[in-house]
Amino acid sequence: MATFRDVSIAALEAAYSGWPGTAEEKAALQVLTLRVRIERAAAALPSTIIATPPDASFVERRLYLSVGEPGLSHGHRIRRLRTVAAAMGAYGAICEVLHGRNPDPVPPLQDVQAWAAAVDGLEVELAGVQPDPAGEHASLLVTARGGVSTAGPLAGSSSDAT
Amino acid sequence: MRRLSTATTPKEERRVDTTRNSGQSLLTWQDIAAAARALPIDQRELLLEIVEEKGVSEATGATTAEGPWYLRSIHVRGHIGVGRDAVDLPLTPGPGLTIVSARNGTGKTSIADGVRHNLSGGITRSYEVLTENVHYHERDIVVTVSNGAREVQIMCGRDAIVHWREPAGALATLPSDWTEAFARYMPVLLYPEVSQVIHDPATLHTFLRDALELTALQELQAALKPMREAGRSALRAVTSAHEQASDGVMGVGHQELAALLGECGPTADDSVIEQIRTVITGLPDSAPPPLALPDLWAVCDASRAVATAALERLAAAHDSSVTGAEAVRDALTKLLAQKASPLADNRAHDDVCPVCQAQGRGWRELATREVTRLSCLTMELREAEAMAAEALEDLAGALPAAVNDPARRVLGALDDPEVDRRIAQWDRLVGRRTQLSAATISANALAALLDEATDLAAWYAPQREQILLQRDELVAAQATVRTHVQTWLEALAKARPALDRLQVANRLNDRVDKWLKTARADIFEPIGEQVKELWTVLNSDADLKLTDISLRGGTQRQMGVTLGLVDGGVALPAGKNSSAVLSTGQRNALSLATYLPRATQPQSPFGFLVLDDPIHAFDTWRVRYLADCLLKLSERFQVVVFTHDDRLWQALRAIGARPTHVRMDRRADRHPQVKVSTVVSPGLHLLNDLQRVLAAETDTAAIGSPEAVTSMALAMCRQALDTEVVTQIEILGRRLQIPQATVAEHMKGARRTADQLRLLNSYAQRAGLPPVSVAPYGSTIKALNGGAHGCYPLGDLKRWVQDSRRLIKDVARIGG
Repeated sequence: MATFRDVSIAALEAAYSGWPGTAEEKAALQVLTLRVRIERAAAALPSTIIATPPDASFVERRLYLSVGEPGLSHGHRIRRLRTVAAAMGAYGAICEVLHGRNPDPVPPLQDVQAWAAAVDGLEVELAGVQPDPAGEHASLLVTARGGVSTAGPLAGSSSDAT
Repeated sequence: MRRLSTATTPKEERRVDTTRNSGQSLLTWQDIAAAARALPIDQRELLLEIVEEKGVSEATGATTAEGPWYLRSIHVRGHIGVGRDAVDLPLTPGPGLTIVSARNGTGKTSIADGVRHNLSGGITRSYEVLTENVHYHERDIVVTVSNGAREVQIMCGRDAIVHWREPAGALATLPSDWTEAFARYMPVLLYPEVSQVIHDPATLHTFLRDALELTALQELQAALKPMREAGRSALRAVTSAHEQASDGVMGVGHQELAALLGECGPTADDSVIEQIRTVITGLPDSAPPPLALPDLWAVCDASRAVATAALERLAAAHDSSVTGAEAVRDALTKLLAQKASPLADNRAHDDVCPVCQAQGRGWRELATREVTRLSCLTMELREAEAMAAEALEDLAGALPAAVNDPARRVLGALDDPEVDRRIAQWDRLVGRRTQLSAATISANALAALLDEATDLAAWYAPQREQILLQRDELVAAQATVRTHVQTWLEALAKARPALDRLQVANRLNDRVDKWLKTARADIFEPIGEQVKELWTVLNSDADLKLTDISLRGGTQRQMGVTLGLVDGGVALPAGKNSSAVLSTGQRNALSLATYLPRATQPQSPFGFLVLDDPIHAFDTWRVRYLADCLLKLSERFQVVVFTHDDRLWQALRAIGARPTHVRMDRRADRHPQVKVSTVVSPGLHLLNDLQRVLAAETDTAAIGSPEAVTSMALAMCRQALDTEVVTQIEILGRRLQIPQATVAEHMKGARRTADQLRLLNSYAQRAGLPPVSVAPYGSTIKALNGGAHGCYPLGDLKRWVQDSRRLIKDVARIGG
């Protein structure tokens, strides 16, 4: 797969805001930004969590591995597991929509809002992850919602990116 | 768009079905008029007379005969939940399946109700609706129907009165055959109606009531009723007159006439009537001859006493008198006469009595006294005789007169054992009466005679009264028999039309009875069979089996539907509560299983079915089963389903169906307009939306950065492509009869667009279809994939969109 530059989430959200139509009509675009946020959150995980290069592949695996981040307390692991599970639930539903597997191509706003809350929670949860000490993944910094990502060789190199 | 004019196959199939059932169910007056042709002439004439009075032409109603009718478009404004901004639903007027999906509160039921209101001609609903929209009061509902040859608008405004507008523009009321047919087949089913059955399945018969309503036949029976009543009334009058005539004839003892009347009965035919007329012409005009019965007699006590006294006096007079006293008196009288010469001589001598020879002049005195005494005795005797004769004469009326021969025959015919003795007694008394005289009867003999006469009178009086009564009756009967027979014949002549009509009306009524039973059976039995079949389909995974559904009552008794339910092989007790075992979903299945056969009867002039929320309370399996049913129905009918539940759409997709998909989306609260869009191809539909946005925005920079806009546009292109690919995979999977679980497993293993395309091509290969050529679009697919993950590929967005369209079209073609 070709290597493409990432579009910042802020730019995607700005384009979503400027896109014609009501929130109901362009709900699919909103869930697109949510999926990108999830994938980038997963890609930003340091090598202390997953050794593979930071990209949008193995999203589910990357996120669940974050539960085993060194130094987390038991309670924190449970909280992270719960947060990741919610985000993965949203991710699965979003992929169903964007891959045309849901007969309704425009998800209801209530669902979108719930998914957005799960993604917000994921980003907040992963914001505390210790950065890669070796700086191997420094090219991609994912912060909380609205954070800026740097361009990098992300898309298309994964085996399970959907 | 499929046009009805080209959709001949379903139409022809439906016509074949109609032909198969023709002549069985007489649902309309036109059907009845047509059926008259097969009747005997008398019944046919009567039936056609009634049909003419009803103002029904024999020709089938134009609108229903022109069916099947399909929906072309629906326009609703200001009705229940639809406000000022109209909702317009374009539809394809022909067989096919259309799913109108919309979220709750979008106005699906409002639109379905508007359709039902207009198509039904505004008949009363069995459920409550808001009278008018709270925001916009100017109701405007237009349903356009088409039969391929012409289109008609059925419309209503604020007053909710429905009008029918022909293509020429003329407004009219809905044809009655249309509204009658709509009530019978009810091709629009709203959830509020189904919910009543869900609430209480025992009301299933009311759900079917209109379908089983045989109004025309019942009206025909009602029209026959007064004829039959008039005929029966006429028959009663004729029968009564006939009975009187028969009684009269029997009274006069006219055997021939009595036999004629008995054989012919009250309603004689003309030949018998002629015979009767001839016979009564010969009946005597006058009364029968007099009987000449002797008058009654009676012994008056006073006369009896007078006669007895007279006879006793006479007897005493006889006793006092002496024989020859009269002659002695006469002689003495002569002697005492002054000039009698013998006496003078006697005086000249010794004055000796010449009779007794007494001497002296004293004999004269003696003779004078003797003359006086004898005169008195004689006078007394004469008076006594006269009085006795007079008394006996007075008693003549106290004795029976002689019996003449006719009277003797009448008396002899009496059923009395004493008759002979009494007649002998009578004759004897008559003889005594003849000989009765004072000289020959004593007072005692007279008393005995009178006693016997009294005894005979006591016997004779009741006999005479009976004889006279019989004679009076005979006289009366003879006098009235002609009148009675004439009265009967006149009554018969007068009643003849009503009697003739009664016979025909009775036969026709019997036939209508059979028609009613046949029609009800013809309607219900196939519905019942299909209900069981549909129940089996909709509940194939349940232990609860519907083994029987039958109709009871309907004419004399209240109509009802009986369900035979078997749970796990055990029959549930029959009765009103037997259906209480059904779950809400099963009740909905039962109502649908009942509704669908009703609405899809082959005689229906409607080619459409409109269902509002038919999968209420259905589990996933039942949704799949219903999807199967609807898909099969859509081969013959235009099936329009309003639903908020995506499961039906998913289920249809899963079985490879590609129904027309109309989406209704309500915009934001501040703009409560409902956007309606037809999804011909799911992928192209999404792509069209994207292209509309891109075409409308001359400067996409106004939307966002070029990178972001490109990324989002590519993501939408990929969603459109994937949507079409997934649709085709499911269609081909169904076509290849790959189990749904296997298809799902295959899909799970093909998460990426390229993988999905490979899966589609593998399915196409198995189906013997040409695969989609993916290679030319490799770079485009990569670009789409990048955009869908928030990346910005370098290249021409317009070309990618065009490539996407071409690829989607290629994919859409693969499944046909």
